[in-house]
Amino acid sequence: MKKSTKIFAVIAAAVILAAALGSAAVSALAYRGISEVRQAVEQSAKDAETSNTELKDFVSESIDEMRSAFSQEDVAQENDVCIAQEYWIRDTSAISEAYKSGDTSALDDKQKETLKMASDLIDEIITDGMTDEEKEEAVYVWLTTKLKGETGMLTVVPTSSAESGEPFGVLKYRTAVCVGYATTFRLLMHMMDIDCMVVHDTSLSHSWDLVKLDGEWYHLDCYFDTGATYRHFNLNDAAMSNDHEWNTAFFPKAAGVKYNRMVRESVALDDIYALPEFVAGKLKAGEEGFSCSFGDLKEEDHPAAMYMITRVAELINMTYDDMSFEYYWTQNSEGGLVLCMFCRKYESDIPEDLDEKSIEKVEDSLEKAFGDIYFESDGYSSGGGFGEIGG
Amino acid sequence: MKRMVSIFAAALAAMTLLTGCGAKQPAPETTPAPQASVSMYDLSEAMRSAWGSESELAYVSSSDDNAAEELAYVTETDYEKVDSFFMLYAADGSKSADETVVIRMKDEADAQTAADTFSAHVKSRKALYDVYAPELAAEMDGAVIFTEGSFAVLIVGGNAEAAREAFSDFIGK
Repeated sequence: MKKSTKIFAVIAAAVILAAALGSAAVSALAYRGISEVRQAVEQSAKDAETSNTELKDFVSESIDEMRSAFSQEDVAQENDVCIAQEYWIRDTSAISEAYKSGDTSALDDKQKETLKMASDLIDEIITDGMTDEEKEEAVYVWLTTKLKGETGMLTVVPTSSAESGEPFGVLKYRTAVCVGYATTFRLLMHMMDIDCMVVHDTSLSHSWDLVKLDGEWYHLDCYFDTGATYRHFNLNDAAMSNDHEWNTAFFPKAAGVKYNRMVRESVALDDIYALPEFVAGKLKAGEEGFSCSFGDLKEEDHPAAMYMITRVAELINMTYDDMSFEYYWTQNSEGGLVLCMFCRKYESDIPEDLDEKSIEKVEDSLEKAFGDIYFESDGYSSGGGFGEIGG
Repeated sequence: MKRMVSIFAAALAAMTLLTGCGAKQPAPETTPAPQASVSMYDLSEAMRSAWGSESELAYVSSSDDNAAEELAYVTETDYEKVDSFFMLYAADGSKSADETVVIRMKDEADAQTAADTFSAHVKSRKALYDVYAPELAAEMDGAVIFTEGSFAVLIVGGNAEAAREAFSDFIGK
């Protein structure tokens, strides 16, 4: 028996058992991952009534949903797509429509609570007179700086709550997996009447957003931009496809560069040989994202330009243990090449309040004791201890 | 009997009443599993030790209340055909891809089918790591899958060969 069939059998079993016990209002049952199926079934068995027709409808829906969840095959649709076999991309238009109409009568309690949290957030970060781009950026900055990204979905038996994949859990508990970031962003955009879609990748492992500004679509990925790095903020298809893969036949084409912040704020350099000094200056200033163009960069100069940026990246990545350097090429509205660069500093394990003298004394005593096997700390080693001093 | 099995059994009875259909199936002939007396917990400890994973490991097994759900994360094997199982895996999957899964089937003839389902799991895990932790994706390429008698085994990361040897030694092969 396949996994989907087995799980369905368990659902059906519990629901029918619940029916036999005279309970279960199952028609409105919404379920997601395996763990939630179980909870939902147990809940249904506890507290409601049903008829055989309701049961049959529920069972029929269950089969479709479970087949979809475990098929691991891409589907040409935006909603009702299961990512990482656990987190569902669900339609939230009922909530955004209720926000716009002021009529919440069709919402259940969980949706009403989601609406309240989302409304409060809009009141907090959106001000009168903001353009759509400013609203979009305000939401992007909030999501990428206020939420804690969840990686529990990478564990064999996922440890992330299914609620971190939906706006309710994201806004309530401030933790999110990719689906949570993407669906919450879309909900907030829709509430503000800005077109937005949730995109999923072809391997059903990841999701992000497409947002429409001035008639053109742009990609943005809040999950990967923790700390508001703008690495994946308002990118076109070409730039996004550097590290994302999706069904380009189904999702709308994103070709614009007008709202790509990196393109708009790029600095015009005389030629590619000015790049090292430009990058070194940005690193010194502590900037994490910067971009430049090269005036009239001819095609015959492209190999030298590629070699230059490859060497810059190599030099930085090999020199700085606490930093990763990434870049991508894109084009501005005139067709000129723009080089977008991102430096991310890792957090050091060395306590902030530790002075240089103390570090030196610790290192000296370690070297004296361990001799040949001693090595200098890179500041990021993982110790084996637990807890705080005095804790 | 575990709750899940109880629910399933009750449901089958109820389903028959509700639908009035379902031909009676003959009871399948099963081959007694030769390693039926092996303690799965002791086996897991022997393999854990040889495997040498440096990760903090989580352990789940057929002794758990939600065992069927836990196993469903790694295999599509029909749980009704599973005798017992254990899974050892990195408690934080974002730091390590290490995992060992051992399933003992009720019927030895089903072991290969169970092992075959591990491939889909490995493929799915690799796709996840490709997106979120590319440095761990290569670990999935080295996944070791094999069967021995009624057992189907998957080992990712650590010293897979040592773990496999420990497995063979333990079950007396």
